[in-house]
Amino acid sequence: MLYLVKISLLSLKNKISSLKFSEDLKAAFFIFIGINLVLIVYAGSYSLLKYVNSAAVAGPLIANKITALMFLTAFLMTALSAVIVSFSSIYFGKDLKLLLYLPVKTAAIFSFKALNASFYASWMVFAVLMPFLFAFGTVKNAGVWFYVFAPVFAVPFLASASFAGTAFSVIIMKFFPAAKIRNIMFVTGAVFFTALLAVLRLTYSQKLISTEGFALLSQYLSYLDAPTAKVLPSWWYAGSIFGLASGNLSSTLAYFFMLLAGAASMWAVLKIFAKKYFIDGLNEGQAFAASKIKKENYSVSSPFSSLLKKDLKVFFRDSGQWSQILIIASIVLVYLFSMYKLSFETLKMHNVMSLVNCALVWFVATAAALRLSFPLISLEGESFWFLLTVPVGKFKIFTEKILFGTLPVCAVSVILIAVTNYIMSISAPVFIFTVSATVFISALIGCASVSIGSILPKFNYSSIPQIESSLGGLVFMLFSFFVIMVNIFIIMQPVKLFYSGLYSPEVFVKYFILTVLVNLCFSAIVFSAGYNSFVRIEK
Amino acid sequence: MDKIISVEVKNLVKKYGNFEAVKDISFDVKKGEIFSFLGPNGAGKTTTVKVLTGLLKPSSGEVSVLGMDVLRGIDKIKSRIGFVPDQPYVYPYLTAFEYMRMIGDIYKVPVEKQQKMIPELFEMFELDGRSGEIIDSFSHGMKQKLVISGVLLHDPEIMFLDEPLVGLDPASARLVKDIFVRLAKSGTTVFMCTHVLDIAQKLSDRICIVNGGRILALDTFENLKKNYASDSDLESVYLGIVGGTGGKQIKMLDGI
Repeated sequence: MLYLVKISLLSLKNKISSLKFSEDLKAAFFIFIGINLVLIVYAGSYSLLKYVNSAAVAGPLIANKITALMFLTAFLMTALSAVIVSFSSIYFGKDLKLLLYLPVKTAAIFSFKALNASFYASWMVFAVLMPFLFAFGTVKNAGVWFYVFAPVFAVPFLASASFAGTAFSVIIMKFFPAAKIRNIMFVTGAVFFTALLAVLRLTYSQKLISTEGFALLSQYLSYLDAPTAKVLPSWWYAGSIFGLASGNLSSTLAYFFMLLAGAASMWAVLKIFAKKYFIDGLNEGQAFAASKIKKENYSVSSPFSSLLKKDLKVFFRDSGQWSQILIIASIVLVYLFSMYKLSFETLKMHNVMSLVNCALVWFVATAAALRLSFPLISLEGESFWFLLTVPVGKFKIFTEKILFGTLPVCAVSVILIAVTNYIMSISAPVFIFTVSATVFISALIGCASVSIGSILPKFNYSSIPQIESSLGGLVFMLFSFFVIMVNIFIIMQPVKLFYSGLYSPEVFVKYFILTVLVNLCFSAIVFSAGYNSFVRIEK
Repeated sequence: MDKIISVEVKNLVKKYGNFEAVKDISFDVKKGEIFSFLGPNGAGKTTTVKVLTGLLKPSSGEVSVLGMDVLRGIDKIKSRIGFVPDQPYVYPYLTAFEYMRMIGDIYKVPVEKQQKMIPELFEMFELDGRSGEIIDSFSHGMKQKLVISGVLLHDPEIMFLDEPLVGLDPASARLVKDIFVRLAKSGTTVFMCTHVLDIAQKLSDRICIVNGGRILALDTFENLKKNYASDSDLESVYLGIVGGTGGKQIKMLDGI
């Protein structure tokens, strides 16, 4: 197995040494953004934990509870990632055929692949968890050993989670029909994520901030002090971290050994499952899905609508794509629920919240565009030769992609802003103004997502999230953030006047025209840049 | 009288960054000709075909297809040519039938003709039982047959084929060869990159051998044989021109 690890390390070394200057720049840009994100997580966590920790009576307990919930979330997220990563890496990895031909024991191949999947499933969670933990240590005035051992203890913690996720994949591959396995896995993943988001948002946060559900304060305090899912490694990790922070050595060691024992047991279970089911699952995985669609339709379509139909069919049949919808739907539902639960007692609150709501809806539009529209060009991937050889002008093809990517984003945004405005009882002029403005802003976001996807495509991908997290995805997010800020600045003026009692239809019309012009200008610029790049794509 | 020229290439150069994949090549292909483009891996064959079909832009030189410059007239050219790539990547979530219908609509093939030809092509390539299945479930050879069917559906004036026989079973390979010969007789030009020398020898009107981005030889098989004083088959001619006689290299295996 060490030889297989060596191959991976050599590949990484060769990849780094063969980077061109432009790729070096790209890598440096990514590292810069990454460091900034880590710093932002640290700053945000520090502010939150410091604020909470300083609250009278229950402050330190709430800080601990938040930390334990954070670990539970990290555990579930890692397990979920491992389900998806292990599935594509262990059963459908591109190097699998080569590895199986090598004179290496199947058990060693499995172990190598499982450890590989664990690394890829957990590194991002680790990167987010560490700044949070360091903020926790700072708030709790932990000693220097806290910062040394907190990352070390995270290794068995995240390993348990990823081994559990991988074991789940092995079982699923054995007992479900191979033809449907890909769909089952993606949907399981999406449902898992949706449930996690909903549970965390709808249950825990409500309980944490409100004592209404508890008859006595002592009940509230004992809820805070009680272990969070104490049979899971997330609580053992929390126990070891709390012990480290408070200098309680025996508690730290006890929980650390539980973590080690948990990781070792999960690895042993995984190996037993693998011994029994890995080869069977592998054989099943190679079987193909032969879904029959019998309808033969000879109705005439124009080349443009023919391409549009093709994109629709591909979208709805590729579970990797439509499972993204479930995730967006969960974000939308949780957002709507949050708005429903908010109460606005003052006019000033209405004013502020109507603007915050616009910004949040446009961020949801950005999230939707990143998942649905941004990957459209990259997803053509190996079939791009087809688009380049068919007798349809590139302008038409690009316009079709823009239309396909923009309409759903517009629809989601307009519905969302209208519903949230209604829930918040926003006054008619502001209601109409924000909904109308959203049509143009979301159209710009949709257009920008496809265009930036064309400027910075990622044709070599193994899963759609890889396209979303590419440099292009990052650039699109930054561009979208900029667009949202500009638009908030514009719509702030008439809304502020309205809530100050200075309503004037002329002002609204003036600012609406300004919003339309600004967004149309930006749309024209990104469309033109995207189209110019599309024309230059060579395959 | 000379035949009409279908493809004309003058001093074509194609660079990828600093690397020159195609180095100043010139040739022409006549209407109704079967023209084989041979060469070792990395010789520049696929790059040349991609330039001819508009997938890549030439770095310099002139390329005209059906009398039109590929840079200026590519949109018009595309409707009159067909392309089979070296890897038959097609939309995996469409069914074979949907793929053919899409081709029919995009190339504006009359519906009556589609209704007649699509089932015929499926039957000919033994895809008729699988036409309602998504392409993702097809083998490499089946995908190849589907892409070739798609090209035949819109009846192009020139067919550009990059390794068209790879992955095909013997019966399908024979069928495809017969189709090429019949099409060429009816005036369709066939431009084919291949490593299958036996087929190139039997089918081609002319053979072009390239290596390192340059043309090393271009003539009929009979003339190549004469010029390179070779044995009876194209393999000997090819190895004589490109190098790599096989005998010397195989000695390296002595003692293994």
